[in-house]
Amino acid sequence: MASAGSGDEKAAAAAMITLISSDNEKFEVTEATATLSQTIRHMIEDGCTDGGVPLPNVTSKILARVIEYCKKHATAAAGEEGSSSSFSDAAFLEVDRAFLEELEEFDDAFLEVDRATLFDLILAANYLDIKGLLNLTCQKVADSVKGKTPEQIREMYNIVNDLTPEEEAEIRRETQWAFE
Amino acid sequence: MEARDWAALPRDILLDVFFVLGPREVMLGAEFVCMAWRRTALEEPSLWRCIGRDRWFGTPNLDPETAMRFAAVNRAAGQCEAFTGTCDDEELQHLVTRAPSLKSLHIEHDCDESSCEDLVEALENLTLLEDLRVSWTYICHMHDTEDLLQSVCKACPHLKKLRIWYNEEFGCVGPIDVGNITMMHELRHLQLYEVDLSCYALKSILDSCPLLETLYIRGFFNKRDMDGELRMKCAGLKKLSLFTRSRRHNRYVDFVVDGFFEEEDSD
Repeated sequence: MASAGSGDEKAAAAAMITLISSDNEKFEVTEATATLSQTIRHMIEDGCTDGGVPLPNVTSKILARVIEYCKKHATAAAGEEGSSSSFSDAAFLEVDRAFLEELEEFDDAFLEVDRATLFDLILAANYLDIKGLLNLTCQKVADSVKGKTPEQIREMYNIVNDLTPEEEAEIRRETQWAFE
Repeated sequence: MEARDWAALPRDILLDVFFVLGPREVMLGAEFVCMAWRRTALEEPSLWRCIGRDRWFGTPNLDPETAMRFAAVNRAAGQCEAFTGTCDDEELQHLVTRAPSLKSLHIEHDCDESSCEDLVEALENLTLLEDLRVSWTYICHMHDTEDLLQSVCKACPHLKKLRIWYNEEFGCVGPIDVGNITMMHELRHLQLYEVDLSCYALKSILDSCPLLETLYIRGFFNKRDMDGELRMKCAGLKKLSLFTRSRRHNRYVDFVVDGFFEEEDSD
């Protein structure tokens, strides 16, 4: 896992970046993969990636997953760019659709995680500023909450209700004072 | 499994989740979960900018849904830009006072009075309004001198999209006999449902809306009365759809100019 990307022929030629997790594990990734993270992109632009990029907020377990996501999405982005000139429009649309479908399947499978992992992925996506991953994970949370009662949500996410009965009653009264 | 504190989710992230959920879902569940979630919901006016688009449609008036919608308007703290729902005159007045920045307003006007004066008066307050859809739950009679379309145009001269749904159930509201309409320099899309339209009125509409791109009309209209000049004017539109019927048979005859045929604008 530490030498991720070593078998990738293209990657050997491309600029490589080393990411270092909070538990000191090193991950080698291509610049194209790493720059899906705006945070890392800015570090590269500022030229401060020599000797690796320490990511003290991300564990190796989560970083591996994040890299998996970035690799897939970086490949998809590169594939789209590369294919646009070499296919006729119809063929290109076909390829485009295949890409999107594959990507969607990947995203769905990617989100099959327990809630603790989902939580960590959200924080990592936020810290690394990976918009696509943040949207994906937030959507997952929203979907799970949709149509649920407060009690069901609390149970699902292990949240303690710290609202007093008075406060709850007040919230419920709110819709009545809306017109007064 | 190691526990994570979802109540302590950073506010920006929780807001992203709330934005996906939409105002209604937040008010029904998420904001009751805990204090942190509650504060996030209440202290972010931008969360309440677009109200009524998330399954708030078609609910009867003065029910909890309506009350909830207006509570959401309050939370928007003046930032509300889009509102969809049913409201009577009082609610409409409340709405234009609390949401002066509305750009999009889709309402079914519910009122015992058979006059649209209050509606038009309320609309005058919304100077940023670009997209207006209005229909009625009652028979709408206008003053003898002024047509509804005329009044709405006068009140909102900066509209880009306008849809007026006259009331079909009790027959049309009487022929639109449009004299001069306020020049609508920005209007691009106009839809009139269940309208009774004369060629004179159609000509007047086209003359008053120089940038009009699409025109959708359903109701009574005698296409045989169209002269060459009117047909020329119509040809300047990108899309014209006339779903007309004769008074005698009360049956629609689809009539599409220049080969354009549009079922119904879903947006």
